[in-house]
Amino acid sequence: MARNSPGGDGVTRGFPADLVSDASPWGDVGKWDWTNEGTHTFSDGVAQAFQGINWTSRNTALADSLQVKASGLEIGITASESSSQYYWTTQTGPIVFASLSDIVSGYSLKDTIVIQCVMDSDVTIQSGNESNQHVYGGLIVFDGGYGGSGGGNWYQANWYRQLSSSTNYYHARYGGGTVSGGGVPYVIGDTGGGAPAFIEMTIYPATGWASAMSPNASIQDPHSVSTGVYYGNMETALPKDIGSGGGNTSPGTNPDFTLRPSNIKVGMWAAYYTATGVRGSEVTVTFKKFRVLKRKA
Amino acid sequence: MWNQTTIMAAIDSAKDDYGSPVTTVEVSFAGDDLRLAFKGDGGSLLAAYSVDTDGELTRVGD
Repeated sequence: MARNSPGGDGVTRGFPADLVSDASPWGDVGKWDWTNEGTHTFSDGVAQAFQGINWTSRNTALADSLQVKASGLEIGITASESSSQYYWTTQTGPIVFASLSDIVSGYSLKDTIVIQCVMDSDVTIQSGNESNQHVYGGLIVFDGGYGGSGGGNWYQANWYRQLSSSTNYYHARYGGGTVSGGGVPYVIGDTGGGAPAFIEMTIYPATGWASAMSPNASIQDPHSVSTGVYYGNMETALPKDIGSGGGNTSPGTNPDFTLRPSNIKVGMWAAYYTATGVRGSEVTVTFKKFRVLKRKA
Repeated sequence: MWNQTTIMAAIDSAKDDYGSPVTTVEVSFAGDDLRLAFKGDGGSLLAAYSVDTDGELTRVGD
């Protein structure tokens, strides 16, 4: 592209195209429109390629439906399945995930990544014991752990609702922690209306993260959403001193964070948790889109 | 003692005590007690509560 010099010297100079045509600091590195992907029913632990990336489900038996179909990537949970949740090292919510290093070529600690999804959520409530029933769905970043003793290396941003109330919440939480009650901390924000339909997580180098969520069901520019914005850190392996982990706290060595490019997975999940008593309701979370962006160097 | 149901009950109790609408609640833990922080726009602290395992509510930090 050519532009006249603002200096008015009459000289026409060439400018690199990326300086004049794309001011965004973010570049798409992967996107999935689940409503246009081939239909597929997941089997637990069996990878299926979409857009050339392997996606795997876990906790599949705790879902009534875990499939890609015309309406999107659907995770449906009924009262027939046992209770599921993400709490501390309990990671039983049905999930579909991929390795971030498969999506982001050359992914390293230098990279800042954003993951986004557009989703629908639907609840069918049967009366009785609603206050003890809780439903969730959204995005997660983790090391691939799952099940009743999943290791606790995860953080997530998602929709949350207690079935005794019509209030929909933005919800962010992290796993693990070595102290008593380490699974308790979380943050909720009343959406003031419907469930979050757009969720974004920024994955900073090492284990820092930020979320943003909105009831607006469209893909939006990174860091442009001002609701459901929460920040956290998920680090269980390192002491307070910076270093490499494993007892080595010498500055300058390669950090060995709990979550790092070699083990980070990104996923979409749902859960239906019953604290006590009967459960009789249903929840379906349908992911329409999933997008991964990388901040340009 | 603490699960999602008991935590939500504690939040509802604290909201009743606070008396004004609250949109953002941060939940943490101190010893056996639950700590609740009500946050306003920009992350400003509106009120903080401690809830013991018997469900007794104490407003803290005032």
